[in-house]
Amino acid sequence: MPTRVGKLPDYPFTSRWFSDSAGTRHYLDEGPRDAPPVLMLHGNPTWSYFWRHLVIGLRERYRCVVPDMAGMGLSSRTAEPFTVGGFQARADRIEALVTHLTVKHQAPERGWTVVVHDWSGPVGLRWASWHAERIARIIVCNTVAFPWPEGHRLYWGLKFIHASALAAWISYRHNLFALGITHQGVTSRMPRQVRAAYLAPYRRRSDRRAIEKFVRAIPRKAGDMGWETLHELGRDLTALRNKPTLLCWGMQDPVFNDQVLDGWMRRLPHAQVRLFPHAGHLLLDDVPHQVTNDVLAFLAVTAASAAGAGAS
Amino acid sequence: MAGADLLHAVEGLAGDRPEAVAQYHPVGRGRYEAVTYHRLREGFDYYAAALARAGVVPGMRACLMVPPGPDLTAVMGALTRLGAVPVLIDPGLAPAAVRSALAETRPQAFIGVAKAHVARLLLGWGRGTVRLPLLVGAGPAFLGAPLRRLRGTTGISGPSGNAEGREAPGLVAFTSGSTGPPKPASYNPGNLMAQFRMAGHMAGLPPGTVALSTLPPFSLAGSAMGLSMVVPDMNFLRPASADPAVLAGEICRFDVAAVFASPVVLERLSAYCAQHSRLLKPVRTVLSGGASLAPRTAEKLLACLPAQARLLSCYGATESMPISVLGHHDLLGDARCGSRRGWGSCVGVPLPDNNVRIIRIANGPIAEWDYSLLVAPGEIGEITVAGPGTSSAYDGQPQNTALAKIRDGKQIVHRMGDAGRFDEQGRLWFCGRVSQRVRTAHGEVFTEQAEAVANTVPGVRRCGLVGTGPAGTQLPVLCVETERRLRGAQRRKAVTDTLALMQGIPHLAGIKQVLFHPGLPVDIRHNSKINHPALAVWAARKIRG
Repeated sequence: MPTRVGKLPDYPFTSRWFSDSAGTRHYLDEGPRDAPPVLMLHGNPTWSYFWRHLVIGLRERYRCVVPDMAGMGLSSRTAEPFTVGGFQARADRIEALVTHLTVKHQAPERGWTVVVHDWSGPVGLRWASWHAERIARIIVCNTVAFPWPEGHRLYWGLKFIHASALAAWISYRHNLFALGITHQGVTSRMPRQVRAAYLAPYRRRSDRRAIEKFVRAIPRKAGDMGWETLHELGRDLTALRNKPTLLCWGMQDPVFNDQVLDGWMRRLPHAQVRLFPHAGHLLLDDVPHQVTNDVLAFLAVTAASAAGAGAS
Repeated sequence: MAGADLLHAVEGLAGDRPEAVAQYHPVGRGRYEAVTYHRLREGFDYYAAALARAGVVPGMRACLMVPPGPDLTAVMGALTRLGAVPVLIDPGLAPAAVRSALAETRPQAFIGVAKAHVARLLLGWGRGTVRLPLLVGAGPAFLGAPLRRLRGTTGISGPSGNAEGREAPGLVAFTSGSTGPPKPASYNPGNLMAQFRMAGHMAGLPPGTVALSTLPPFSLAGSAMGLSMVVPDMNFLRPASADPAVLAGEICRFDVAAVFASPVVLERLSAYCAQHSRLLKPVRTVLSGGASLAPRTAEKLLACLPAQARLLSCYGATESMPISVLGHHDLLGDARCGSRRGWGSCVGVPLPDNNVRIIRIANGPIAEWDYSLLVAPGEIGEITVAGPGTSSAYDGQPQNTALAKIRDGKQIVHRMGDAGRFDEQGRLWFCGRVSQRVRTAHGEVFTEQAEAVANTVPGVRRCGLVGTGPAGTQLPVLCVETERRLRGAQRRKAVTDTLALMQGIPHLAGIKQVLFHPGLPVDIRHNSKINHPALAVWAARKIRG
């Protein structure tokens, strides 16, 4: 059964559901039907709640589609295994949802703008690079989709869970990772209700199996499961080089730091770059209005080329 | 865009002569780094990329507090390229004045060195409006986002902004505040370049000349004119305390042919050179600006310059710079005689591009130009100027704009607030601030006319004329600061000499009261303009008591 949560601050959206063989998926579909679609993909351990400010800012002019990843948010807890195949299955799930929307809910087949953050970077961009014809624009926030840069050191909190099964179990038991993100992921003070909202889908222990698994699945070195996938992803990014790209980056992120940012700037030299020096990992909680304004400006400026891509 | 002039000028120079040195700037421990025009242009790319990533957008106001040097030039150019509006405030102003200035202009970005950010945080500058604190150079991150980090390590060039045809002013420069609260003069397209061109024309310096400037605006102008500017190793917040030994050393070391400085710096420099019997051999041109150059200072300075050197004194204001220029032959000859006769200070002949006219003194705003405003030739009135380098408005201050600007067809005439007159040879004489004139029962006395007379008396260091009592029946009081070594009888002699001189001049004969002041209140910037309002309060108390 999907997780249920009560009323959440700044989340005045209609929940929608989509079922397939692997379970029930929760997603938002806000904004006019005929508007250009924007697909926002969340990371770990956030959920569609993370994009709330952006959805509110965009939904007048854009159709905002915001799914919760399998096993996370309000989606059902039948998560894929954390194998290379499972990773592929996650990317396919995105395609399944998009197909579902185009067939059943008048969404266009092309002209999609994809917004990725954290773990959705690898997954979302894998989908995007394999379905490049669907994609009109890309917006990248604090994530990675290529091998970690040389000399990158994993944040100690993450490293602990990543390296030790015991630490992972303790974190799982007490929901430490999700709790930690709501503290360490922002530079401003997160209001109590907002923190509660972030944690709401993960209140029960059985609801949060995916979180630590995601952390433990971070490939760090050659031989790790998924390391090859990151390499492939890095190569696949070239398929997206002709897409208008906006890089929004919170610079106070201990994990996705300047080295990672540098990697993005080198791999996507055409990207428009917007840096938020005082924002943390959850940049939409630190500087919601700035990010929203920048995204709106980017979407407006690239509207012509996106329309062209959609038509061709 | 006004700043575009600087940007395009430097870009053009970088194309023509990429390896020419644009600036020598101190990097500590007596060493200097040479920055070529090519490097300066790279600086534009560097900062434009960083500023764009930080969220600087066209039309955004960005307060700039960076000491003169390659960084200042580069950030100015980069802001212009992005279509943002640089706001220049002299950080040497009183902190409260800076705060109110920032509260009025409401800049969203604050670009400064670490020290400026510390001041911003401690003194509450721009609190509530500044949402982009950006750090130039090194410093802790809580002060502001380091632009160095924002640029990253990849060598991607910045965006090539196209900010043409926007309504926003190209640049906002605050007046120095030595003549009242600082006001934001907004510069139109072409204003700045016209000022640079006029300054270049006035100084007559070919590109490639090595020049040194203690005046920040001239540092920028020099880079736009193709000069090799030496950035002196001094504290630009306190130009009056610049070390003359360092300046003299820099002049000789870099073969500086042109020096731009305020009178107070020149005075210290000449005193140092006289004391150590040093000759500033390479110097050919000295341009004094910021305050009027006293003939005594000019004399002392000429003694330590080579024979063929020229000394120019330049008159102008933030709103219109430069207006007129006076060479040292005039300054030490005719002009000094005129000063002795109570004519005020000669500021020279207006530059060809400027239309300088004298209008009758009026208190309220004047909307439209009319020839009936003009005074009879030779009479004292308010100095007005119209020219390509004249700012047309105060940014966001319609009231002050109305008080200081007159519309004349397509042109905007700026009222200087200075009283002055033209003599038969077409030279402009400065007579003091209009608002500070003393209105006695027997007519008006202009401060500079009396002060210039008294300043020629041996033993008088500086002086200020103020009025006490209600306007119309004011009592003129001359407040005198004597040379420090003066005692009893000598002091009395200085006073009797002064009064005797005054009695010999009909329009100054009304001055009969002299007070000794231990140290006259002066402006921080130039350390030479007398703060008359403060002095008037002091004099009134002294007379009553």
